[in-house]
Amino acid sequence: MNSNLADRFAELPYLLAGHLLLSVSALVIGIAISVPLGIAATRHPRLRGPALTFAGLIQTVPSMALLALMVPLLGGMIGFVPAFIALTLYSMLPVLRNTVTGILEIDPAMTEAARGVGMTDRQSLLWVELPLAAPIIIAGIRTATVWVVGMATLSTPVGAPSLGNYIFLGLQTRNWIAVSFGCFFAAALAIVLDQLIRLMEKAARLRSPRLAWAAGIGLMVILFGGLLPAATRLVPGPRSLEVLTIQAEEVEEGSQPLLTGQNLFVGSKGFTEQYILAELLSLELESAGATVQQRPNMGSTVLFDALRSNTVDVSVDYSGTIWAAIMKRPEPIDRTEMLIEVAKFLKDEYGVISLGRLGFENAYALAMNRDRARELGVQNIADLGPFADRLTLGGDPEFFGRLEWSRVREIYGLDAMRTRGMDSTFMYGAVRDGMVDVITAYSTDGRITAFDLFVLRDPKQAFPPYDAIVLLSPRAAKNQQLIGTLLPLVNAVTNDMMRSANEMVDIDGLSVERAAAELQLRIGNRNLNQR
Amino acid sequence: MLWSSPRYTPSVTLELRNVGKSYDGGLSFAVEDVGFAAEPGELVVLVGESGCGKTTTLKTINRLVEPTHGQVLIDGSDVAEREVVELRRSIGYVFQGIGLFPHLSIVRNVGIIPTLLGWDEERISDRIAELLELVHLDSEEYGSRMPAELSGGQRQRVGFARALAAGPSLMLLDEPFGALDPITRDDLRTDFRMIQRELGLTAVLVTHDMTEALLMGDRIIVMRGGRVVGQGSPREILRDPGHPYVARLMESPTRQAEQLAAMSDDDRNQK
Repeated sequence: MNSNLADRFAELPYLLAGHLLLSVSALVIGIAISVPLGIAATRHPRLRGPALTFAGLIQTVPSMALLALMVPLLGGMIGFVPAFIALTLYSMLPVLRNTVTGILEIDPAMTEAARGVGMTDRQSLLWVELPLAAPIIIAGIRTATVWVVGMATLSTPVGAPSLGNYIFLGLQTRNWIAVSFGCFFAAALAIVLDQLIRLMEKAARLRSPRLAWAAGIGLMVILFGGLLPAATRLVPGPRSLEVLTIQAEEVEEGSQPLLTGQNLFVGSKGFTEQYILAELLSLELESAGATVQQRPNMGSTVLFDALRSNTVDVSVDYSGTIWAAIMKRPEPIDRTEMLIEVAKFLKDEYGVISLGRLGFENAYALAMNRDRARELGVQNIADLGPFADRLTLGGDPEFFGRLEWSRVREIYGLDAMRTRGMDSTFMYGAVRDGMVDVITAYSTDGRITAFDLFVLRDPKQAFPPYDAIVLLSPRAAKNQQLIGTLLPLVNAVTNDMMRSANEMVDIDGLSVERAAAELQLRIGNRNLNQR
Repeated sequence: MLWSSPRYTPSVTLELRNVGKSYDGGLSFAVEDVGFAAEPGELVVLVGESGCGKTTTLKTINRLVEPTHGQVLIDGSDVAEREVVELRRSIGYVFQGIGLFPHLSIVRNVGIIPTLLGWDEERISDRIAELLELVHLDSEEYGSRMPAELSGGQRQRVGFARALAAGPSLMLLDEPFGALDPITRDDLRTDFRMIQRELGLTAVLVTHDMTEALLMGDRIIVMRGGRVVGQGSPREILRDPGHPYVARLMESPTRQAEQLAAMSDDDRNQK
């Protein structure tokens, strides 16, 4: 538990900085758009309806969906930009609405007095209307601040580092300390920013330079204190060879780690195994001298888009996933042939290189509570057919949108089966406790054995093979040092090794970092023995 | 002396000719065929019940309301042809309910028109001190306060000072004494009348109080339903109200005066 907390604290400066940068820049730009737009709307009543409707509509889009939609809208871009744009849009409604209300609800006698003493429209706005509407506008800004800081925790799946990383990681790996940790700091950040803005408003209202200084200094402390320690990691350093050669000259030949001075990005999807593997890749790259940032928790296609656009340098994917989700090939083929075809396709289409299999397979497999399977007399997927209309299938929402599921459903006649999407981390407990009848388990998950689940055979080979493969972005593919660093991982991880690493996190409650370090150790031992 | 200061433009004449205002494209008129004139230095009082169009008429003078027809002439030139912002800055306006800006200090409220006109800092602060003295407010004590920290009477004094700030030759006052207690009201009326006479300001004052109109006006315009139903000097109106409505408005002040006279008679009889 203590090492768990220490791990969390180690990431805090970086994640807090990411969160702060994202929220504050979205707020600043959101305010810079909404206040003028709100003013314009009070001057031109025809603009008012459309502007408020637009901002209101954005608000009705669930925040998670708004973030997710930014990725395709920006042509597959992930990271800061899509999260920033979504948050900016999200911050607009309260500020816009309060600007319009604040100005329109000023006593008409005041605006008439402004005109009566001979103010131009602009002077009336700047000297009278905005100052009088300020408390309401600032209340809108405070609402937006709390919303945006909260919503920024959801930007993890689109690849922007934030305090949400704690929450998503914690959810996937059943690490409730991490979840609480993320919640605590996100809430604290929201409260502190809100109170600082309140203080500034008060300073303006009371015309108190002392309060204004206090608020200003507070905000500076938060911004610089939050951003500086991680500034070097948030702004990727130069990747030029120049830097590398200069550094290489300074250090003795031979002792120079291969990847010194390089900033590399490791991407992962949102489940335990992916976290462990991302951590493993990071450990390997860091030990070669690279500075590594993880982009965790992405959906399969989002992650792939990030990889092919060089937003992420390295990731681990599964042959069957690429086959079905990227290549859209419904019919599975022989395992080895598939690996070759996948590698060829990725290289020809996107310049993405498959470094090779890690050595294990993490297949989708339908699993049931053993007693329930016995009761129904079910041995393989085909046996489910007659009961399909009475059974519920639990699984990650991604699966139900994938080709594999339509294929399985069709081949085994499971159309009548109800599906229930849930986070993958919850499905094992759900099937054990009878809340669902069947789940789309991952074959390397330690909870299959721990919960004594019964895995149904797939006699018609509806599921493709899912060999784990290391993928490199087109840019990383040209990086010989990086390839050299990761090559020892090829064929180094057996099914057993992966399953026990997953178990350490999912069942024993150890941290992802511990499991990855353990896995690295076992890989080292195994490679030594083989030599 | 302030009132000999060359900042004050010489008194002007004001004339309204057939001024009318319709808000529904001519179907009905809030103000119709209103005409009157003021000589330089005269105080004209527009009097009538609420909704009679007196405030609307007042606002056509500084174009807060643009008349549908008719003309407003200041020193013979039509205000419709003047640049509206410049026109308003040249006219002192005292608002109904005072109209001070609640977020600005007294000093900043009084200095607002000079600031808009781009006077330099020193000239503005000298001017503010002068004006606050003129309206009997201690600038040391009140200058940095906010309007909410002043009494109603003090606020109205600030309102007068603000209206006088740029040395206008014409003043418009919309029910300036409406919300004040009787003693404060009397003081302010006296002070204002004195300042107005000393400066030779032409002024138009709107009120619903016939007594006030009689006590203050050089000329009284009685309005009803958007039209002028009687006008003249207080003496002329006292002598001959003319229109029955004017006579009715006269009842209240006359009765009050009679009652007061009767009471002092009683008093004398008892002694």
